[in-house]
Amino acid sequence: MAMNRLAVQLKNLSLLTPLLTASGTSGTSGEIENLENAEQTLSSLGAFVTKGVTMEPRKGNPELRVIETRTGLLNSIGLQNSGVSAFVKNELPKLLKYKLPIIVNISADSVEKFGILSGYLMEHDTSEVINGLEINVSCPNICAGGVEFGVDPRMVEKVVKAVRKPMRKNVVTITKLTPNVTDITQPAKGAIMGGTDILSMINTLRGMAINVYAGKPYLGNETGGLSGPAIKPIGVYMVYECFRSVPECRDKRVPIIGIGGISTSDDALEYIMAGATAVGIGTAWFVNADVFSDIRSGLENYCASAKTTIIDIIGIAHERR
Amino acid sequence: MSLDAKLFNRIARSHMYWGRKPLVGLRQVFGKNTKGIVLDPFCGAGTPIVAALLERARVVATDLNPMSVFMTRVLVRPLSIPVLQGAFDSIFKEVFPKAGPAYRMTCPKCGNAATADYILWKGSVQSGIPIAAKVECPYCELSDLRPLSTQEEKHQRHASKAKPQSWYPDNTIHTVSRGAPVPNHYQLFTGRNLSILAEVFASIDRLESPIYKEALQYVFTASLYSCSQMQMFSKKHPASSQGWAALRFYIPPLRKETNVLHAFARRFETFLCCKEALNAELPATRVTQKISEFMDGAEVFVGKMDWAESLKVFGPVATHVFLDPPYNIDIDYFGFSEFWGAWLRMPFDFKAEWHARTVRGGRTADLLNRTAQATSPACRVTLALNPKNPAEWDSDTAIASSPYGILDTGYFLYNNSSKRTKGKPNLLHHRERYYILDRSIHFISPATKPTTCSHGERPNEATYPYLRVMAYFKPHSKAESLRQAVLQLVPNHLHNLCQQLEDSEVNKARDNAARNMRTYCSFCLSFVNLLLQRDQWQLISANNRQVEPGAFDLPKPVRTQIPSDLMAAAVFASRDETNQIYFYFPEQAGLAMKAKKISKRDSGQYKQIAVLVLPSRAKMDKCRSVTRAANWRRGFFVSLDELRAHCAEVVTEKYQMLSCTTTKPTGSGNKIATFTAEVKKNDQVGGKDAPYWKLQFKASGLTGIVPGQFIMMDTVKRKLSGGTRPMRWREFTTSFKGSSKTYLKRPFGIHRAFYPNFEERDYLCRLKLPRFLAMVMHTALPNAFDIFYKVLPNGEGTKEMTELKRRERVKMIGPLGSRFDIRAMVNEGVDEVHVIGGGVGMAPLVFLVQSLRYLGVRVKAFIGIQTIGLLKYQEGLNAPRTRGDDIDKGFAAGVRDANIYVDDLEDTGVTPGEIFVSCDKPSDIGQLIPRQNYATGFVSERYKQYLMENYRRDKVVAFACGPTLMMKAVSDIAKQHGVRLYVLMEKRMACGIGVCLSCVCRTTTGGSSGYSRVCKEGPVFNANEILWP
Repeated sequence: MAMNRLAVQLKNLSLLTPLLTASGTSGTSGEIENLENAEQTLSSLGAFVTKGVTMEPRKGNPELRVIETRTGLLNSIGLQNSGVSAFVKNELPKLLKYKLPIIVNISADSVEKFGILSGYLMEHDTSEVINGLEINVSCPNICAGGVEFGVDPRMVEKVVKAVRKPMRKNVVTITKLTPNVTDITQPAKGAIMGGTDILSMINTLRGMAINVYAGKPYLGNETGGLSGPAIKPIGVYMVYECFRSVPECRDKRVPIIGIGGISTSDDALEYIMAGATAVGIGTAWFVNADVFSDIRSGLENYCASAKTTIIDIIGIAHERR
Repeated sequence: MSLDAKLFNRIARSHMYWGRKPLVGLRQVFGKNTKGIVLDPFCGAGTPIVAALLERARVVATDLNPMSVFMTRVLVRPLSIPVLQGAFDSIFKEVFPKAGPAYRMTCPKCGNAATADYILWKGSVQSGIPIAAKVECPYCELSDLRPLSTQEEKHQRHASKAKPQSWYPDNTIHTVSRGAPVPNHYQLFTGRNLSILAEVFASIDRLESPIYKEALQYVFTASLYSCSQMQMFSKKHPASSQGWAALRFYIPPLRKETNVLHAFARRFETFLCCKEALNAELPATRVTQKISEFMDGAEVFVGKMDWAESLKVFGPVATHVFLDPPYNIDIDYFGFSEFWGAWLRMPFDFKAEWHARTVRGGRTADLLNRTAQATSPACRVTLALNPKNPAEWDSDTAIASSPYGILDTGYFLYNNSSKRTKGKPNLLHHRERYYILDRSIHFISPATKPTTCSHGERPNEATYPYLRVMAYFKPHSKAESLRQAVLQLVPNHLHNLCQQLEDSEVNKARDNAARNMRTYCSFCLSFVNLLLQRDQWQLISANNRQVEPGAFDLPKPVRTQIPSDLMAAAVFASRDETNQIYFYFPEQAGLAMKAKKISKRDSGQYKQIAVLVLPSRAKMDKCRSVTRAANWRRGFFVSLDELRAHCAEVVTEKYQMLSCTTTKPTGSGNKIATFTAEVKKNDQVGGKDAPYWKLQFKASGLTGIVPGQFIMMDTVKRKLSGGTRPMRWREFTTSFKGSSKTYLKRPFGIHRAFYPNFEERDYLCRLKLPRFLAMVMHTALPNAFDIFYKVLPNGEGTKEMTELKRRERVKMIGPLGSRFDIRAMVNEGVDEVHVIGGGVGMAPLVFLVQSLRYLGVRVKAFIGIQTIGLLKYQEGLNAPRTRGDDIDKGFAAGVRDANIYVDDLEDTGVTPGEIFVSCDKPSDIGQLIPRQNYATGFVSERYKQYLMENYRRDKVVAFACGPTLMMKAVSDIAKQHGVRLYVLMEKRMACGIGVCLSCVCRTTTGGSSGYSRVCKEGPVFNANEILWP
């Protein structure tokens, strides 16, 4: 068998490829399977990240929820989901058959609720399906508990601690950071103080669009979060900055998952060379249903022609400055 | 190999437990007789539990053997594959530094360090000598069994005597009858293997998660045997190392010392395979060891319990008791359970085990009587007895003295394809008899015990049903048993029908059963005849003999060969002689030829068509794909399922029950595909300044789209030509549409779909089909379609789309959206459908009308448009014409005038009188439609007026699509007038497959969030469900 040049290690998770779904863009479970290329997509993934789950069901924001911008997408879904009890009952068993590490994205509007939610998931996951929890302290589209948690390093620390307290030791914690800050390393350091295993960055950037023919904002929530190729340079910078300035990231004790605008294998390589161990792909999947298998084969070709492996090129841009 | 057989293989390979019953047979037992709770007081390794769970029963599994309980628990509990893999990796990492060097050897080829996969020993247990080793070298990929040099031999002798550092069990071997060469379990291993096994076990013990610890302990125990020096030994076949007729704990003079890590890793792989398969089948099983949790609704209870206690506790709730008791106290799996369980520190008490080997039949009768006492009268019992079990010899006496009667009986066939049998028919002792017992049945007395195979012939799965029939058809056998025997013989899809038959018919079925194809054909023809009669059509067969509706009435005399007249020339003629429909069955040869001949003879008149009748909906859908259908020119497709469902409506008394049992159409199986479509044409409609465009595509990748569904397409062409070659990453980066202003795909409904085998657009006008037959007939799937779009001032995507040129290829995904079942709607008794379309919203409704017309439903169309002029466009002459337009003018210009919507509707057979047009501004209607059908104002107002003028609306359904305000207005009107209305919703979308939650609309059925996704639950919604803004 040929050597797998793409395998990476995210703390105790061994991933076959460094590609992850980005939370909120690949459904909770089962949606992928309606696609004809589901098999290729799933085999190109290293892990599966679910849509955000909250304690109580959430209605989400009023319509209109998405609007396209030049090379990007503004969304304000507002964490619509049917609550953690429905998630555990209906979705978790379906996730079993993916044969992938499962990472559940969680959101709450207070530190205590984060703890309760994490505890609930651990208690009800009797088959231990969940391999990781991604803490969303950065959603720009909800009024409490979103991005305002993410900008305050002390708050991030508290949240991470609360989530980690009831967790099994073999489950990893991932903290998803917001780019809506002046200095990304501050919340990153906060999360590391709290004991996060992995950092993921970036969530969407705050933005808005106005319909000039109607003279009012397009989105029902007025503002939204920008994703897509438009935000890729920002994401790459933030990964680069974290890798450079945070010692834990530098010596790869706290790996980074780079997310934001990745649509080709070159984009993924940019993130990896800036210091990301794995990358999350979201919006590009809407545009190109084969994006995961395309990027996978792109990375394979790159590694084969450059005679290297993904692990060897993580953060390589720092050495060759 | 069937799915069940595959699954069974994986389960069986995950551990070496004896006597696993085949899943296929078990599912038959549970499928027929189980609803509720299955109690298995002798659960063994858990295969019956899996079978019962697959049949959606809840299960109580108990056993006195703690190893069985442990194995069942691990087997049925869902486990995450990545976590398992992670746990395994961590153990391997921990143990490898110690275990790796123990088996190290030097590669004879390249001189690097290599590993021994196994070492062969010769001589007695105490003082054997290593003679050869299988060396595996990771560097030069050598894998070779080679003799050892003197030095290596010395080294191996020394290494194999290592002392274990961690705990290992030192239990004494309890043997009842056969001796073992050593008194203790640990002496079955070499010192080296034992010390590494102890390390592995200690490492597993250190795992945090209790359930994954158990899973790896399962793998560990499974690999114990191959790590030991033992070998399977069968008295009958001394040379074989396989087979379960082994003497226990036998250490041969020539033996293997297997690398523990290799053995463990191999077992782990098989266990992973087993778990993957089980996860897919039984993902949501909750396994509990507490009775209270089981009573609260957990699917499986697994616990160590005596059978009598188990019956006492769970007997009252059980609906099916599965009894397969051990046949002897001295059987192999007891000994091996102890061998495995010693590591898990399990206590064993085999003396307390129930077994059948005492008084002949006495204990079996006792078992049955006590089961009867503990369970409710409705509870069924399955008694499975091993052929080695002496109780089987007298099972009839035992059953006769119990309150039970035999409902059914059969064999579990052990399809053991080991080297010894080499695919020959199963040996007699490779099957196990089972009886399904019921307290309400007494008619099969022990006297009519089925004869087993005569003249020494060995039965296999194919001959077996015949043997059973022969056994049952004794002179005084009852009708019920006869019926059941026949049920065994006829194919699955005819089962339900057979149950409706009279005894005399069953007898006929017996005659025909050997020729299933004929039975099947005759069924189909009876159904077709029923449908035709409903429309006053007549069925004639080629030999001019009328086929009667009775299910099994075949033309006589019955011949052994399938008569070609019935098969090939089932010709049906309508009242007027020229319209003819030919029916064919898939097993017939030369189908494509026949279809071609028919379409040639017909030469464009659409009076003769060919219909292919297929056994199931799934098979039919396969044949309807564009490529396959090309061989079946201008043919139609019918599935037996649908024929049956429709017949149930026609002749109620005889076929009523059948409609209840028919399976629902499996339409949801269609997957969303990514494909490229080739632009055929991209025309502006309604003049130079009009915002409307019509885009025509050819797409062979489109897999069956139904009205209401939509596609999402890129707004610019694909820069690469496509093809099957995987894209190189450099190409991919350049092909990505960097210059386009848009990013996402755009959703569009289908305006018209074109079918590969009907070249002419107007076949629906010309084709004359009996209506009830048309309801079950399907065309081939479409391979070309139009979309109709409007360019808005801020619509960058649609602006880009106007640039698309002929022959350019566009990437799209589809079909998206739920499959709205028009057939089901029409079957509910709809006579007339109204479609109300505002502007571009009419486009998807045209596709709907196309399907409705095919089913013979009358349609009234209401079109709302700004001016009449917007409907006009120029169409190329190569496009087929439908109306007597000005031909000369058309020829001169190379184009001719056409009207969007109106022409499209007329193509499908809607008359101009049934089309209503409303314009915002007064304009000249011309000869397009009757003057009275034209109005100025909103289309919703026109529809309201129509409803007020026409009072008959009980069997009317309406569909609306257009701007939200218009749909809201129509929705109010429909509500007032009591018309059922469906709306096709449109929203901005990002993904189209239901993950991004951006295209939501507020509905009453949206669950906790109050929102439904247009792309997933819609786009067709019942208007009453929508909460309008």
